[in-house]
Amino acid sequence: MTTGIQSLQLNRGTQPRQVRIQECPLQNASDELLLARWGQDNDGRAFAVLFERHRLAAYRVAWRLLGNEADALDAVQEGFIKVLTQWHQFRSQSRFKTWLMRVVSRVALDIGRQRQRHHRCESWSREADVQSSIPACTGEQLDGQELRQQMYKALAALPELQRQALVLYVDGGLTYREIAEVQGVSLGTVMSRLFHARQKLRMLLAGQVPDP
Amino acid sequence: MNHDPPIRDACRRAWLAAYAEGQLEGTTREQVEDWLDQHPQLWAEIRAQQALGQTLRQMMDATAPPDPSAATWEALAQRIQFASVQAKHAAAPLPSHCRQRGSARIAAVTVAAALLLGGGVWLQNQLPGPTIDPPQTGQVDPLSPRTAHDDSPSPSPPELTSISRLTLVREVDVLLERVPHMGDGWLPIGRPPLEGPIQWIHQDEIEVIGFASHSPTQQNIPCLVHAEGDRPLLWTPVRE
Repeated sequence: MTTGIQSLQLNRGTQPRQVRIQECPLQNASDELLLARWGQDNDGRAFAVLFERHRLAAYRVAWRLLGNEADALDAVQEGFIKVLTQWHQFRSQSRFKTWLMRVVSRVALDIGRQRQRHHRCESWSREADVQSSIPACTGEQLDGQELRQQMYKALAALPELQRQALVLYVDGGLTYREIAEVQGVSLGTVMSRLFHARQKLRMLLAGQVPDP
Repeated sequence: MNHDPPIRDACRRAWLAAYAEGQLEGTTREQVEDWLDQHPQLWAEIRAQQALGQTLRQMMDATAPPDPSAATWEALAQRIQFASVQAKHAAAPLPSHCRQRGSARIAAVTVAAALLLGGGVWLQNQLPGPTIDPPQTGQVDPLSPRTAHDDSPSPSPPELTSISRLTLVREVDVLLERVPHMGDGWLPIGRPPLEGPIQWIHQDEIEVIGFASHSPTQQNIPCLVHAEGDRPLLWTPVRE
Protein backbone atom coordinates (compact mmCIF):
# COMPACT_ATOMS: atom_id res chain seq x y z
CA MET A 1 0.00 0.00 0.00
CA THR A 2 1.44 3.31 -0.95
CA THR A 3 1.66 5.70 1.91
CA GLY A 4 4.18 8.21 0.73
CA ILE A 5 4.10 11.14 -1.55
CA GLN A 6 6.30 11.71 -4.52
CA SER A 7 7.23 15.13 -5.66
CA LEU A 8 8.30 16.23 -9.07
CA GLN A 9 10.01 19.50 -9.61
CA LEU A 10 10.38 21.17 -12.96
CA ASN A 11 12.69 24.10 -13.27
CA ARG A 12 12.15 25.92 -16.51
CA GLY A 13 13.32 29.15 -17.97
CA THR A 14 16.61 29.21 -16.12
CA GLN A 15 19.58 26.90 -16.20
CA PRO A 16 19.66 24.14 -15.34
CA ARG A 17 16.31 22.86 -16.47
CA GLN A 18 15.57 19.73 -14.60
CA VAL A 19 13.00 17.40 -13.26
CA ARG A 20 13.32 16.10 -9.77
CA ILE A 21 11.19 13.78 -7.78
CA GLN A 22 11.66 13.75 -4.08
CA GLU A 23 9.93 12.51 -1.04
CA CYS A 24 7.66 14.98 0.58
CA PRO A 25 6.58 14.67 4.21
CA LEU A 26 2.92 15.21 4.87
CA GLN A 27 3.68 18.22 7.02
CA ASN A 28 5.20 19.93 4.00
CA ALA A 29 2.47 18.92 1.61
CA SER A 30 0.42 21.62 -0.03
CA ASP A 31 -3.09 22.37 1.07
CA GLU A 32 -4.33 21.11 -2.27
CA LEU A 33 -2.66 17.77 -1.83
CA LEU A 34 -3.93 17.39 1.71
CA LEU A 35 -7.42 18.22 0.58
CA ALA A 36 -7.19 15.66 -2.20
CA ARG A 37 -5.99 13.01 0.20
CA TRP A 38 -8.81 13.81 2.53
CA GLY A 39 -11.32 13.69 -0.28
CA GLN A 40 -10.04 10.48 -1.82
CA ASP A 41 -9.18 8.46 1.24
CA ASN A 42 -10.67 10.24 4.25
CA ASP A 43 -7.07 10.55 5.36
CA GLY A 44 -7.27 11.72 8.95
CA ARG A 45 -3.64 12.76 9.03
CA ALA A 46 -4.14 15.00 6.02
CA PHE A 47 -7.12 16.57 7.73
CA ALA A 48 -5.15 17.08 10.93
CA VAL A 49 -2.37 18.92 9.11
CA LEU A 50 -4.82 21.01 7.13
CA PHE A 51 -6.83 21.88 10.21
CA GLU A 52 -3.85 22.82 12.30
CA ARG A 53 -2.47 24.93 9.51
CA HIS A 54 -5.54 27.10 9.09
CA ARG A 55 -7.61 26.85 12.24
CA LEU A 56 -6.18 29.89 13.95
CA ALA A 57 -6.60 32.29 11.03
CA ALA A 58 -10.11 30.99 10.47
CA TYR A 59 -10.90 31.41 14.14
CA ARG A 60 -9.59 34.94 14.28
CA VAL A 61 -11.57 35.97 11.21
CA ALA A 62 -14.70 34.47 12.70
CA TRP A 63 -14.07 35.98 16.11
CA ARG A 64 -13.60 39.45 14.65
CA LEU A 65 -16.93 39.11 12.91
CA LEU A 66 -18.76 37.65 15.90
CA GLY A 67 -17.01 38.84 19.03
CA ASN A 68 -17.04 35.70 21.13
CA GLU A 69 -15.36 32.33 21.23
CA ALA A 70 -18.41 30.10 21.10
CA ASP A 71 -19.88 31.64 17.97
CA ALA A 72 -16.46 31.86 16.34
CA LEU A 73 -15.82 28.16 16.94
CA ASP A 74 -19.24 27.36 15.48
CA ALA A 75 -18.33 29.30 12.36
CA VAL A 76 -14.97 27.55 12.07
CA GLN A 77 -16.62 24.18 12.48
CA GLU A 78 -19.29 24.83 9.89
CA GLY A 79 -16.79 26.35 7.49
CA PHE A 80 -14.42 23.41 7.69
CA ILE A 81 -17.22 20.92 7.30
CA LYS A 82 -18.40 22.71 4.18
CA VAL A 83 -15.03 22.75 2.48
CA LEU A 84 -14.23 19.19 3.47
CA THR A 85 -17.50 17.80 2.18
CA GLN A 86 -17.36 19.89 -0.99
CA TRP A 87 -13.65 19.30 -1.57
CA HIS A 88 -14.27 18.16 -5.14
CA GLN A 89 -15.57 21.62 -5.98
CA PHE A 90 -12.24 23.20 -5.15
CA ARG A 91 -10.59 24.76 -8.14
CA SER A 92 -6.86 25.23 -8.07
CA GLN A 93 -7.10 28.68 -9.56
CA SER A 94 -7.10 30.00 -6.03
CA ARG A 95 -5.49 29.00 -2.82
CA PHE A 96 -7.26 26.62 -0.48
CA LYS A 97 -6.90 29.23 2.22
CA THR A 98 -8.80 31.77 0.13
CA TRP A 99 -11.62 29.31 -0.30
CA LEU A 100 -11.69 28.44 3.38
CA MET A 101 -11.67 32.08 4.45
CA ARG A 102 -14.50 32.83 2.08
CA VAL A 103 -16.62 30.05 3.53
CA VAL A 104 -15.77 30.77 7.16
CA SER A 105 -16.34 34.51 6.85
CA ARG A 106 -19.68 33.98 5.14
CA VAL A 107 -20.77 31.54 7.80
CA ALA A 108 -19.69 34.00 10.46
CA LEU A 109 -21.64 36.82 8.85
CA ASP A 110 -24.69 34.58 8.62
CA ILE A 111 -24.40 33.67 12.28
CA GLY A 112 -24.02 37.35 13.11
CA ARG A 113 -27.16 38.21 11.17
CA GLN A 114 -29.13 35.48 12.90
CA ARG A 115 -27.90 36.70 16.22
CA GLN A 116 -28.85 40.26 15.40
CA ARG A 117 -32.35 39.17 14.57
CA HIS A 118 -32.60 37.65 18.02
CA HIS A 119 -31.14 40.63 19.76
CA ARG A 120 -32.45 43.62 17.93
CA CYS A 121 -32.67 45.52 21.13
CA GLU A 122 -28.93 45.60 21.32
CA SER A 123 -27.81 48.76 19.67
CA TRP A 124 -24.23 48.89 20.79
CA SER A 125 -22.99 48.10 17.34
CA ARG A 126 -24.34 51.32 15.93
CA GLU A 127 -21.79 53.86 15.16
CA ALA A 128 -23.07 56.50 17.51
CA ASP A 129 -22.93 54.11 20.42
CA VAL A 130 -19.47 53.00 19.50
CA GLN A 131 -18.22 56.52 19.29
CA SER A 132 -19.74 57.41 22.62
CA SER A 133 -18.27 54.31 24.23
CA ILE A 134 -14.73 55.05 23.21
CA PRO A 135 -12.87 57.11 25.76
CA ALA A 136 -12.63 60.71 24.76
CA CYS A 137 -9.32 61.30 26.40
CA THR A 138 -6.66 60.82 23.81
CA GLY A 139 -3.62 58.78 24.50
CA GLU A 140 -5.22 56.80 27.28
CA GLN A 141 -3.97 53.22 27.27
CA LEU A 142 -6.68 50.61 27.63
CA ASP A 143 -5.99 47.19 29.02
CA GLY A 144 -6.04 44.21 26.67
CA GLN A 145 -9.57 43.02 27.26
CA GLU A 146 -11.06 46.49 27.09
CA LEU A 147 -9.11 47.37 24.00
CA ARG A 148 -10.24 44.13 22.36
CA GLN A 149 -13.85 45.00 22.98
CA GLN A 150 -13.36 48.53 21.71
CA MET A 151 -11.82 47.20 18.56
CA TYR A 152 -14.63 44.71 18.11
CA LYS A 153 -17.24 47.39 18.54
CA ALA A 154 -15.46 49.66 16.12
CA LEU A 155 -15.28 46.87 13.55
CA ALA A 156 -18.94 46.08 14.13
CA ALA A 157 -19.78 49.64 13.22
CA LEU A 158 -18.31 49.26 9.77
CA PRO A 159 -20.52 48.27 6.85
CA GLU A 160 -20.51 44.50 6.58
CA LEU A 161 -18.48 44.22 3.39
CA GLN A 162 -15.88 46.70 4.59
CA ARG A 163 -15.57 44.78 7.83
CA GLN A 164 -15.24 41.48 6.03
CA ALA A 165 -12.59 42.89 3.70
CA LEU A 166 -10.55 44.36 6.53
CA VAL A 167 -10.71 41.24 8.67
CA LEU A 168 -9.79 39.00 5.76
CA TYR A 169 -6.86 41.27 5.00
CA VAL A 170 -5.46 41.66 8.50
CA ASP A 171 -6.46 38.48 10.29
CA GLY A 172 -7.01 36.16 7.36
CA GLY A 173 -3.82 37.18 5.60
CA LEU A 174 -5.45 37.42 2.19
CA THR A 175 -4.24 39.79 -0.49
CA TYR A 176 -6.39 42.46 -2.08
CA ARG A 177 -6.80 40.25 -5.10
CA GLU A 178 -7.89 37.29 -3.03
CA ILE A 179 -10.39 39.43 -1.17
CA ALA A 180 -11.77 40.55 -4.52
CA GLU A 181 -12.21 36.90 -5.38
CA VAL A 182 -13.89 36.15 -2.07
CA GLN A 183 -16.30 39.06 -2.39
CA GLY A 184 -16.81 38.68 -6.13
CA VAL A 185 -15.87 42.27 -6.89
CA SER A 186 -13.15 44.11 -8.73
CA LEU A 187 -9.77 44.95 -7.26
CA GLY A 188 -10.74 48.62 -7.28
CA THR A 189 -13.78 47.91 -5.15
CA VAL A 190 -11.63 46.14 -2.60
CA MET A 191 -9.23 49.07 -2.56
CA SER A 192 -12.13 51.38 -1.91
CA ARG A 193 -13.62 49.19 0.82
CA LEU A 194 -10.35 48.84 2.66
CA PHE A 195 -9.53 52.50 2.32
CA HIS A 196 -12.88 53.58 3.75
CA ALA A 197 -12.72 50.91 6.44
CA ARG A 198 -9.39 52.26 7.64
CA GLN A 199 -10.55 55.86 7.55
CA LYS A 200 -13.65 55.01 9.49
CA LEU A 201 -11.76 52.96 12.05
CA ARG A 202 -9.38 55.83 12.55
CA MET A 203 -12.35 58.04 13.28
CA LEU A 204 -13.99 55.51 15.58
CA LEU A 205 -10.82 54.80 17.44
CA ALA A 206 -9.85 58.43 17.77
CA GLY A 207 -7.42 58.70 20.61
CA GLN A 208 -6.06 55.24 19.95
CA VAL A 209 -4.97 55.87 16.38
CA PRO A 210 -2.89 58.99 15.89
CA ASP A 211 -3.77 61.34 13.05
CA PRO A 212 -1.35 61.06 10.18
CA MET B 1 -4.31 72.35 -3.43
CA ASN B 2 -6.75 69.69 -4.42
CA HIS B 3 -9.54 70.70 -6.77
CA ASP B 4 -10.76 67.18 -7.48
CA PRO B 5 -14.29 66.27 -6.51
CA PRO B 6 -14.44 64.25 -3.28
CA ILE B 7 -15.36 60.97 -4.97
CA ARG B 8 -12.42 61.12 -7.30
CA ASP B 9 -10.16 62.16 -4.49
CA ALA B 10 -11.26 59.18 -2.39
CA CYS B 11 -10.74 56.86 -5.31
CA ARG B 12 -7.26 58.21 -5.85
CA ARG B 13 -6.42 57.88 -2.18
CA ALA B 14 -7.67 54.30 -2.21
CA TRP B 15 -5.22 53.50 -5.00
CA LEU B 16 -2.42 55.20 -3.10
CA ALA B 17 -3.35 53.25 0.02
CA ALA B 18 -3.22 50.00 -1.93
CA TYR B 19 0.20 51.02 -3.25
CA ALA B 20 1.33 51.90 0.26
CA GLU B 21 0.31 48.42 1.39
CA GLY B 22 2.31 46.85 -1.42
CA GLN B 23 -0.79 45.35 -2.98
CA LEU B 24 -0.38 46.61 -6.51
CA GLU B 25 1.57 44.78 -9.14
CA GLY B 26 2.27 44.93 -12.82
CA THR B 27 0.85 47.76 -14.84
CA THR B 28 -1.29 49.14 -12.05
CA ARG B 29 1.76 49.55 -9.89
CA GLU B 30 3.64 51.21 -12.74
CA GLN B 31 0.76 53.58 -13.33
CA VAL B 32 0.78 54.69 -9.72
CA GLU B 33 4.54 55.11 -9.78
CA ASP B 34 4.31 57.23 -12.92
CA TRP B 35 1.67 59.22 -11.18
CA LEU B 36 3.89 59.70 -8.16
CA ASP B 37 6.73 60.80 -10.41
CA GLN B 38 4.50 63.48 -11.84
CA HIS B 39 3.09 64.49 -8.46
CA PRO B 40 5.78 63.95 -5.83
CA GLN B 41 3.67 65.72 -3.25
CA LEU B 42 1.52 62.57 -3.17
CA TRP B 43 4.30 60.74 -1.34
CA ALA B 44 3.00 62.45 1.78
CA GLU B 45 -0.28 60.60 1.29
CA ILE B 46 1.60 57.34 0.79
CA ARG B 47 3.43 57.83 4.06
CA ALA B 48 0.22 58.74 5.86
CA GLN B 49 -1.53 55.64 4.55
CA GLN B 50 1.41 53.45 5.50
CA ALA B 51 1.39 54.85 9.02
CA LEU B 52 -2.36 54.37 9.36
CA GLY B 53 -2.23 50.84 8.01
CA GLN B 54 0.64 49.91 10.29
CA THR B 55 -1.02 51.39 13.35
CA LEU B 56 -4.29 49.62 12.72
CA ARG B 57 -2.52 46.36 12.05
CA GLN B 58 -0.62 46.66 15.32
CA MET B 59 -3.85 47.40 17.14
CA MET B 60 -5.59 44.45 15.59
CA ASP B 61 -2.65 42.20 16.39
CA ALA B 62 -2.71 43.44 19.97
CA THR B 63 -6.42 42.80 20.23
CA ALA B 64 -6.45 39.38 18.62
CA PRO B 65 -8.67 36.99 20.56
CA PRO B 66 -6.96 34.55 22.91
CA ASP B 67 -6.44 31.18 21.35
CA PRO B 68 -8.82 28.43 22.41
CA SER B 69 -7.31 25.70 24.53
CA ALA B 70 -5.73 22.60 23.05
CA ALA B 71 -8.64 20.53 24.34
CA THR B 72 -11.08 22.83 22.57
CA TRP B 73 -9.21 22.46 19.30
CA GLU B 74 -9.06 18.71 19.70
CA ALA B 75 -12.78 18.45 20.34
CA LEU B 76 -13.51 20.73 17.42
CA ALA B 77 -11.29 18.70 15.11
CA GLN B 78 -13.08 15.52 16.08
CA ARG B 79 -16.50 17.02 15.48
CA ILE B 80 -15.45 18.38 12.10
CA GLN B 81 -13.91 15.11 10.99
CA PHE B 82 -16.86 13.06 12.11
CA ALA B 83 -19.44 15.35 10.56
CA SER B 84 -17.48 15.62 7.31
CA VAL B 85 -17.18 11.87 6.89
CA GLN B 86 -20.86 11.44 7.64
CA ALA B 87 -21.80 14.14 5.17
CA LYS B 88 -19.58 12.67 2.47
CA HIS B 89 -21.15 9.28 2.84
CA ALA B 90 -24.61 10.73 2.85
CA ALA B 91 -23.90 12.70 -0.31
CA ALA B 92 -22.46 9.79 -2.29
CA PRO B 93 -25.14 8.61 -4.71
CA LEU B 94 -23.50 5.33 -5.62
CA PRO B 95 -20.45 3.38 -4.58
CA SER B 96 -17.42 4.44 -6.53
CA HIS B 97 -16.95 1.06 -8.23
CA CYS B 98 -20.47 1.42 -9.64
CA ARG B 99 -19.96 4.94 -10.85
CA GLN B 100 -16.75 4.12 -12.63
CA ARG B 101 -18.09 1.34 -14.71
CA GLY B 102 -19.50 1.90 -18.12
CA SER B 103 -18.54 3.47 -21.36
CA ALA B 104 -17.02 6.59 -19.87
CA ARG B 105 -14.57 4.54 -17.88
CA ILE B 106 -13.68 2.39 -20.87
CA ALA B 107 -13.21 5.42 -23.04
CA ALA B 108 -11.02 7.08 -20.46
CA VAL B 109 -8.77 4.08 -20.14
CA THR B 110 -8.58 3.69 -23.89
CA VAL B 111 -7.61 7.31 -24.41
CA ALA B 112 -5.08 7.15 -21.64
CA ALA B 113 -3.62 3.94 -23.01
CA ALA B 114 -3.19 5.56 -26.39
CA LEU B 115 -1.56 8.57 -24.81
CA LEU B 116 0.69 6.35 -22.79
CA LEU B 117 1.86 4.50 -25.84
CA GLY B 118 2.34 7.69 -27.79
CA GLY B 119 4.17 9.34 -24.95
CA GLY B 120 6.48 6.41 -24.52
CA VAL B 121 7.35 6.32 -28.17
CA TRP B 122 7.89 10.04 -28.20
CA LEU B 123 10.21 9.82 -25.23
CA GLN B 124 12.15 7.01 -26.73
CA ASN B 125 12.93 9.28 -29.61
CA GLN B 126 13.70 12.28 -27.46
CA LEU B 127 15.30 11.24 -24.24
CA PRO B 128 18.96 10.34 -24.10
CA GLY B 129 19.95 7.67 -21.63
CA PRO B 130 18.43 4.36 -20.71
CA THR B 131 15.94 2.75 -22.97
CA ILE B 132 12.39 3.45 -22.05
CA ASP B 133 9.98 0.62 -21.79
CA PRO B 134 6.48 2.00 -21.78
CA PRO B 135 4.14 -0.07 -19.67
CA GLN B 136 2.17 -2.73 -21.46
CA THR B 137 -1.24 -1.34 -21.95
CA GLY B 138 -2.79 -4.73 -21.55
CA GLN B 139 -1.28 -5.22 -18.12
CA VAL B 140 -1.21 -1.84 -16.53
CA ASP B 141 -3.96 0.60 -16.07
CA PRO B 142 -2.26 3.75 -17.28
CA LEU B 143 -4.28 5.82 -14.89
CA SER B 144 -3.15 3.83 -11.93
CA PRO B 145 0.17 4.15 -10.15
CA ARG B 146 0.16 0.42 -9.52
CA THR B 147 1.71 -2.31 -11.55
CA ALA B 148 0.13 -5.52 -12.69
CA HIS B 149 2.26 -7.29 -10.09
CA ASP B 150 0.71 -5.40 -7.26
CA ASP B 151 -1.54 -7.90 -5.58
CA SER B 152 -2.82 -5.66 -2.87
CA PRO B 153 -6.46 -4.66 -3.09
CA SER B 154 -6.94 -2.21 -5.87
CA PRO B 155 -8.17 1.19 -4.78
CA SER B 156 -11.07 2.78 -6.53
CA PRO B 157 -9.81 3.93 -9.91
CA PRO B 158 -9.70 7.68 -10.19
CA GLU B 159 -12.31 9.50 -12.14
CA LEU B 160 -11.09 11.73 -14.90
CA THR B 161 -13.12 14.56 -13.48
CA SER B 162 -10.83 14.61 -10.50
CA ILE B 163 -7.95 15.42 -12.79
CA SER B 164 -9.44 18.64 -14.05
CA ARG B 165 -8.27 20.29 -10.87
CA LEU B 166 -4.66 19.65 -11.71
CA THR B 167 -3.90 22.95 -13.34
CA LEU B 168 -0.20 23.47 -13.18
CA VAL B 169 1.44 26.56 -11.94
CA ARG B 170 3.84 28.67 -13.88
CA GLU B 171 6.75 27.74 -15.99
CA VAL B 172 9.48 28.13 -13.44
CA ASP B 173 9.97 25.99 -10.39
CA VAL B 174 6.87 23.93 -10.59
CA LEU B 175 6.72 21.47 -7.77
CA LEU B 176 4.29 18.63 -8.11
CA GLU B 177 3.21 15.97 -5.69
CA ARG B 178 1.98 12.56 -6.50
CA VAL B 179 -1.25 11.65 -4.81
CA PRO B 180 -1.39 8.02 -3.84
CA HIS B 181 -4.37 6.19 -5.24
CA MET B 182 -5.28 9.04 -7.50
CA GLY B 183 -3.71 7.41 -10.49
CA ASP B 184 -2.19 10.28 -12.38
CA GLY B 185 -3.03 12.58 -9.54
CA TRP B 186 -0.28 15.10 -9.64
CA LEU B 187 -0.95 18.27 -7.77
CA PRO B 188 1.04 21.46 -7.85
CA ILE B 189 2.39 22.55 -4.52
CA GLY B 190 4.70 25.09 -3.09
CA ARG B 191 3.87 27.99 -5.34
CA PRO B 192 0.35 29.08 -4.58
CA PRO B 193 -1.58 30.82 -5.90
CA LEU B 194 -1.78 28.86 -9.08
CA GLU B 195 -1.43 31.04 -12.09
CA GLY B 196 -2.76 29.25 -15.08
CA PRO B 197 -1.67 26.32 -17.14
CA ILE B 198 1.92 25.51 -17.83
CA GLN B 199 2.96 25.22 -21.44
CA TRP B 200 4.09 22.07 -23.10
CA ILE B 201 7.44 20.99 -21.78
CA HIS B 202 9.85 19.68 -24.32
CA GLN B 203 12.12 16.90 -23.30
CA ASP B 204 15.22 18.82 -24.29
CA GLU B 205 14.30 21.48 -21.76
CA ILE B 206 14.44 19.21 -18.80
CA GLU B 207 16.66 16.67 -17.25
CA VAL B 208 15.54 13.84 -15.06
CA ILE B 209 17.63 13.94 -11.93
CA GLY B 210 16.14 11.22 -9.82
CA PHE B 211 13.14 9.61 -8.36
CA ALA B 212 12.14 8.41 -4.97
CA SER B 213 9.21 6.47 -3.76
CA HIS B 214 7.98 5.06 -0.51
CA SER B 215 6.55 2.07 -2.21
CA PRO B 216 8.32 -0.59 -4.26
CA THR B 217 5.12 -1.04 -6.22
CA GLN B 218 5.66 2.35 -7.74
CA GLN B 219 8.93 1.39 -9.36
CA ASN B 220 8.93 1.37 -13.12
CA ILE B 221 5.80 3.39 -13.23
CA PRO B 222 6.14 6.38 -15.48
CA CYS B 223 5.39 9.72 -14.00
CA LEU B 224 2.60 11.49 -15.72
CA VAL B 225 2.29 15.20 -15.55
CA HIS B 226 -0.92 16.74 -16.64
CA ALA B 227 -1.77 20.15 -17.85
CA GLU B 228 -5.35 21.19 -17.67
CA GLY B 229 -7.92 18.49 -17.94
CA ASP B 230 -6.70 15.06 -18.83
CA ARG B 231 -4.18 16.03 -21.49
CA PRO B 232 -0.83 14.54 -20.61
CA LEU B 233 1.97 17.00 -20.67
CA LEU B 234 4.98 14.85 -20.16
CA TRP B 235 5.97 11.29 -19.64
CA THR B 236 9.20 10.65 -17.86
CA PRO B 237 10.75 7.26 -17.25
CA VAL B 238 11.81 5.90 -13.92
CA ARG B 239 15.53 5.45 -13.65
CA GLU B 240 17.15 3.19 -11.16
